[in-house]
Amino acid sequence: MEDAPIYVRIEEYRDVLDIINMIKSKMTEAKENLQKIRELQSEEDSEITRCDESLDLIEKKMDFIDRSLFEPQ
Amino acid sequence: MISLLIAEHGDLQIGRNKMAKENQKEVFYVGLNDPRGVRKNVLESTRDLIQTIKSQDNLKQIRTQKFMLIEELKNQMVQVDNLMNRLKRALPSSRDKEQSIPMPKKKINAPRKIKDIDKLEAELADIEAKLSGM
Repeated sequence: MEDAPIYVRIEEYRDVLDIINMIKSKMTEAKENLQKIRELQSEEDSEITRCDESLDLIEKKMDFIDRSLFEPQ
Repeated sequence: MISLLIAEHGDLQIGRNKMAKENQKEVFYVGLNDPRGVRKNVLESTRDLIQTIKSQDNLKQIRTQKFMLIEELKNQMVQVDNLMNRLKRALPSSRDKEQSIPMPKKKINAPRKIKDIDKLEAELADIEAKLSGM
């Protein structure tokens, strides 16, 4: 019984096709959006890495300054 | 005479104050072996800090953009969900009808069967009792 064919009225069939097309276009939009989010995510990650590296450099420089000022020879 | 003494006393006091101030302002010097290096490092640290501040500002912008895109994505998903519901409604739901019909039948039949078996068992026990009495 489950595999028995179902007949859809032609007007409803057109509606169904329209809805499917709308779903398809929405899904395409969503995929594009998701791709943009991924790109922004990777940009964010690289920016965080840059900040981290910069802070490491500053820390090293401060350490050098600290040693020069407070451990005089 | 008195005024001279007062003047002298005043001069003495001024002299003492100067000494005290000089003692308080004793200056110490620390020798730096690499003053150029220190200055260079200070400048470079400042430059790096400015760059970090810039990058944090950039991060803020990225996050705002990302937040907007995520909100847009949420809206799109809600719209897709609504469209899926419309699709469900547009398609005929034959399965529900097929399943809904036999379910109550089973529920009604099940207790009847039990009662029938009980009746049959009672009848059988009655017959056996009669047979044993014979």
